[in-house]
Amino acid sequence: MNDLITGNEAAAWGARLAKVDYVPIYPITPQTEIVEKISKWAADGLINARVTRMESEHSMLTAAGAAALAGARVFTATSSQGLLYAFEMLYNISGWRAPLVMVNVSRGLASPLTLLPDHNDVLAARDSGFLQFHAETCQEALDSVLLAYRIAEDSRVMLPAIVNLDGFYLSFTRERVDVPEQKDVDDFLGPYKVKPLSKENLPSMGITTLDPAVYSYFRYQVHEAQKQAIKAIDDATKRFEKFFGRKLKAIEAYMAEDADYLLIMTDSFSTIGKRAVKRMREENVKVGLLRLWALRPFPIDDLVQAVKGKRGIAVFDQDLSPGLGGIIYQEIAGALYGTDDAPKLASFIGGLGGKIPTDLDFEYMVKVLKENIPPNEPHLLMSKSDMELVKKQREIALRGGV
Amino acid sequence: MAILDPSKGIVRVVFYGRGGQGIKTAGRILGRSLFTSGFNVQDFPIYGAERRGAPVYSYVITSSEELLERGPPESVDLTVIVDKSLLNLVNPEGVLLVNSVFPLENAMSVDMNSFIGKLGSYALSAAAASASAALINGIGRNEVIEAINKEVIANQYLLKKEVEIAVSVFDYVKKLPTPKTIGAKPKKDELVELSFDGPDISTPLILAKGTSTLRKTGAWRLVRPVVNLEACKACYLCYLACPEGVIKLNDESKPIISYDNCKGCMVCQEVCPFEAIKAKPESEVSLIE
Ligand code: SF4
Ligand code: SF4
Repeated sequence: MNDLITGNEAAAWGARLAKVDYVPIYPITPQTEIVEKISKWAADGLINARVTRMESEHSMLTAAGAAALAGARVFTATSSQGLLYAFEMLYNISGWRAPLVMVNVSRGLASPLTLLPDHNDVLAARDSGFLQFHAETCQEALDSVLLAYRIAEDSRVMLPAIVNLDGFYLSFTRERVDVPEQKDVDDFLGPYKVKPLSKENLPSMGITTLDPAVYSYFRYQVHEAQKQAIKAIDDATKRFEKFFGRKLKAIEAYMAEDADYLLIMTDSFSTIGKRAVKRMREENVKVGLLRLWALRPFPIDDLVQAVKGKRGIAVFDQDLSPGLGGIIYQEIAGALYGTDDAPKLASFIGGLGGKIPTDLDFEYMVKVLKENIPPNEPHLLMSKSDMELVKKQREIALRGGV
Repeated sequence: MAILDPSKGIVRVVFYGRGGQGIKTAGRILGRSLFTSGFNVQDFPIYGAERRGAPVYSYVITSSEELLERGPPESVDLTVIVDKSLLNLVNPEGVLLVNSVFPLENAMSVDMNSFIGKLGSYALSAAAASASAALINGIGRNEVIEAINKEVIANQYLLKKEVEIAVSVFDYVKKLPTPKTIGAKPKKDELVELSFDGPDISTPLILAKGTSTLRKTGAWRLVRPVVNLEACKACYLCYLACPEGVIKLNDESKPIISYDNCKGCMVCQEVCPFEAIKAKPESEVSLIE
């Protein structure tokens, strides 16, 4: 079925088609529409899931993890401040090896306050052990939820997953989405196989203080499982293409093969990056784009392959680690350091608080690469008119302005 | 008379109105009409304050080619102003279509309210969407009707009425002469380096007093409280009850309302024992202005 639906609704459809059993919820803009939709479907008897509103995101995630261990296929969703409020449970749940799927609808973190997206919220979760998949389109919001279950529940992996989609630019934007047939999804996913709790199977978790060596072993196993997830992604995406005809990859390469220069981006602004690439191609600038769909596990081998022989790479970070710079830039630099002929890298910060990148930004990024003088500091993509707005508002805040 | 052609390139439409006027739905009806006509579509609303009466806008972006678009576009091809009192708040671009009784320079004025009649703002979304659909090549009347039936939540009677209204608006706009296109103002811009600013100015603190009055929340008003000073007995009640604190008293202790920030909640009218405050629709008042 083809329909015009929002990113939020598409994500909700992912959960519906995955036939989730349990959905603990807590509202937060711009995510709420997802759990509203699921609540409505449950109330109308269209899905057979137990939906429970908790009193906070922390409890929501705790319930989600516990239910996943008890044998339920679990879905939940949050955003921004809500994700941070639930934070301590992220590490617990990956340690429990509970393969639930949580959607994060990205929204910049306060302070100052915004409702529009950047990725400091979801990237804060990058070390938690959750798998992380980032959607570019509404279609991908749906597809990524299905893939996330397949990969998370893979017997080699057994880890929870976050599917990220951008607030507003996807969450409230309607696009054409192909909603797959239930039967096909059933066959694609298969049932969630975990030994249900019973008298014979009543495990308890080692949550007391453990010997450091024992702690090291279990924590490092989460990393080993993430490495296995690279293979699981490969298998799951191939299977997905066979079932639904859509190709997803850990890294999507756009006009990248013959490119001299590459932009690296994630999430919904990659679409604007692609438009810029297309436009620059018309002016014979040999530029392409890599889009990271999988951020955890980080697809190092694919990345090394994709950048081979390129002259320069501009990383667009819609996030910021103050005191260091772009988070994804650091990850890419780390992955490429020491590889033969690693291309020059340059770091750009843009899209904070949902600031839409412009042609000017992309042209500048390519110019920096072409002139072969990558700055050793990140560049904030900020224009004169942006600064005029800042000045005006600052003036009002300090002096009452006008 | 269709003047915008999504089969020849990207067409970007924006609807401006207020919360409660069905602006999001207008975008969705147009979006759905284009979708069923076989075009690629994106539609999305933008809310400022999430409140009835506050300015709301929604975008529809469409093309027969692949859409590489995210978020509000830098320029638009059709601006539809559903609430005329917003005319001086927006920067019209492309073809300008205004819901207005009077003819306007460089704009198509369509008196949507006269088509809607008693149905009120209920049917504005259908009227605005079909007026814009009439300007786009490749959308037929049937697609608009289908879209209204799919996007509008109403009972059978209202739906039927809305479809009738939409069809009349559609046929009417089709016959109007082609308006001038207002060119997008070219934005000259360049990237700048950010300098270090000390924490005294680089912290998001509001130190000046009374800055909230600079946010003209008066633009959220659908109706305006107008005081009849003759009838007023200076009892202070409205002054005390106004939740926004926008009523001052004059030398005779009678109320002066600041329309820059009055949100039109009409609490003042409610509490006045002498019926000295009356509500006037903002669209009427701004017409006189
Ligand atoms: S309408 Fe509301 S905000 Fe305006 S003056 Fe009356 S009470 Fe105050
Ligand atoms: S409540 Fe009525 S009578 Fe009393 S001060 Fe206000 S306008 Fe005048």
